[in-house]
Amino acid sequence: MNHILVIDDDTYICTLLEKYLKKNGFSVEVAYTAKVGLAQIKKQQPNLILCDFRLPDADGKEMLKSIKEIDSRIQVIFITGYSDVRVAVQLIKSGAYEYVTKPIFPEEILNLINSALKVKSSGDNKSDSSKAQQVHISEEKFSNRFVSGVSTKFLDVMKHVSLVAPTELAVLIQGETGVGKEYLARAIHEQSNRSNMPFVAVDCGAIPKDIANSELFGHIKGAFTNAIANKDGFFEQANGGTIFLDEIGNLSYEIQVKLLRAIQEKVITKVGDSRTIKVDVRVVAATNEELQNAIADNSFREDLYHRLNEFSLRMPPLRERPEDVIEFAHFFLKMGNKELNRNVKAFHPEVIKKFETYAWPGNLRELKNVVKRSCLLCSGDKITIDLLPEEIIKYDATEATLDTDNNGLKSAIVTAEKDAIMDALEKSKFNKSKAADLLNVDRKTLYNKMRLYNIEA
Amino acid sequence: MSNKYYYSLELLRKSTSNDEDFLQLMIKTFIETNRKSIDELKVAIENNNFKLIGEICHKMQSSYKHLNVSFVIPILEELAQYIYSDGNMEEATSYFNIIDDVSTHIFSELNTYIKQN
Repeated sequence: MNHILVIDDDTYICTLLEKYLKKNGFSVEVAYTAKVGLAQIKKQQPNLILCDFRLPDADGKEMLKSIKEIDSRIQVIFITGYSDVRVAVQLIKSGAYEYVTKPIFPEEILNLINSALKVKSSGDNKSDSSKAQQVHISEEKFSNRFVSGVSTKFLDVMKHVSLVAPTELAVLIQGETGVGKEYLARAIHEQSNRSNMPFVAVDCGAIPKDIANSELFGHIKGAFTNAIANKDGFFEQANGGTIFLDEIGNLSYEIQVKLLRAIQEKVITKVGDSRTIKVDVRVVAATNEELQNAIADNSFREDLYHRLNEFSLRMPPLRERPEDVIEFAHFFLKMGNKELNRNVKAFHPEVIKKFETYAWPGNLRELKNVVKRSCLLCSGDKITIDLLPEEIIKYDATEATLDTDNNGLKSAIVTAEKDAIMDALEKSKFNKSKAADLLNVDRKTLYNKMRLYNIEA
Repeated sequence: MSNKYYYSLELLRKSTSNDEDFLQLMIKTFIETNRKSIDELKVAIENNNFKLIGEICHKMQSSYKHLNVSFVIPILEELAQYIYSDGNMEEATSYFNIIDDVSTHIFSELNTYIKQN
C-alpha cells in the first residue's frame, strides 16, 4: 500500500485529504508543521508528500530541499495559492513533481498522485539511479509529445533553430520557467545530423548535488559506498547524440569544471576512475536566470559560459505571443480529454479572450494545469469562464500595464521598495540573509517582497 | 441583490463522493477550524498585527472557497494581502465584523443541517 504524508497547517485541508485518500486505498499521515513533517519522513519514508507551499515554519523551496536531502526519490506535490504559481513552476524544475492550486479538488489530486507514483515506480525499477523525472531519453516521436507555436515570435525563433541545428555549435537557450526551452532543444536535435542518435534531457536542478558527478559522468564499481556496479552517466548515454542540460546554473563548480572538459576536449572520467573516455556529444543548455549575474558572483565559470553560448536563443514568454496560447490550449484540452476520459470540445469565446490577455507567469506549465483542471470541472462540452481560477477571471491586463506606467504614490512606493531590494542584493552579492540585514527586515519578509515583485535571485 | 449568507455544499458533496458521514465530518471541521480562526483574527486586529491578520485570512480562504461563501471570499482575499504590506486597521475591523456576522449565521445553518441529518 502506498504511503502518503500530507503537510499543511490547515486542519480542514488535512482532514479532507486524509479521509479522501484513505477511502481510495492509501495509507495517510498528517503533519501541521514543517518540523513535524520532516521528523515523520525520517521515521517512515512516504512514497509521496502533499505539501502546502506556505507552512508556518518553512516555505516550499526550503521544504523541497530538506525532503530531497532525506530521500530524493520521494515525490512531492505542492498545494499553492494562485499568487505562488510562478515559484511553484520553478520548484518543478528543482525536483517537485507538480503543483495544484487552491481550492483543492480531491479528484484532481488523486489523478496526480497516481501518475506521480507511476513515475516513481518506473524510476525505482531501473538498475541505475536515473529517474524518469531527471532524465528522459528520446524514444517517443517528437511530434506526439510537443506542439509548435504559430506566432511570428515563435516562428522567428524556429528560423534560428533551423540555422544552428545542422552545425555543431553549442547552444544556450534562455527563457522563463515553463516557456518551452526543452521543445527548442529537441527541435535542434531533430534537425541536426545527430537526429538518429540519442537525445538525453537532464534537469540539473533536480539532481541531488552529492550524486550529480556520478549521474552525469558515471562511476566504477567500488568508487563509493553504494557503487555496487559500474554505471554509465548521461554523457555516455548521449554519445553520438545530444545532451540537453536544463537549469544549467544549478551545477556546482566542480561539475562545471568536468563539463568544460567534456565540451572542450571531448573526454570524461568516471567517478573513481583515472582513465578517460572519449565522448562525442553536442551540448544544448538552458537557463531561466541571467548567468551573467552568476558569473559576477563567481558561482558560474565564465569560460564555461562562453563555451555553452556559442549560439544563443531566447524563447519569449507566453504573454508576448497570445496566438500561441490558444494553439497550446487546444493541444492541452485534447490531452486532458484523453487523460481524464472527457469529451470537452471547445473554449467559450470569453475564455479565449481571457487566455489571450492573461500574463501567464508560469507559462506553458501553468496553461496546461489550468486547461486540465477546467476540463475536469466541465460538465458540458465547452469550457466557460466560471471554470477558470478566480485570479485569471479577475486579471485585468489594462490595470497590469497601468501599474507599471503609473506615476501615482502607490507606484512610487513599489518602485522605491524594488530598488532598495535590488540594491541590497547587489551589495550583499545576492546573499539574502545579508541583504535582509541591510534592509533591516527579517529574511521571511525579504522573501515575501521578492515574490511580490517577481525578483529572482 | 446577492444573498449575504449564501454558501453551497455542492463542491463539498462532490469532494466527499456523496458520503454523508464524510460530508458531516467536513462540515464540523469547517465550523471548528474557522471559529478558532475568527477568534484569532479578532485578537490579531486588537494587537494591530497586520501580518498575522493576512496569514489567518489566507488560511481561511481554502475552506470558504470550498463552501463558496461568496460574500466573504473577496474580503478574505483583500485582508490576505496584509501579509505583504500594512493595511488599514479601520478597514480590517469593518471587514472582521462582516466575516463574523456571515460566518456565525452559516455555522448556525450548518449545525441545523447536521442535527437534521
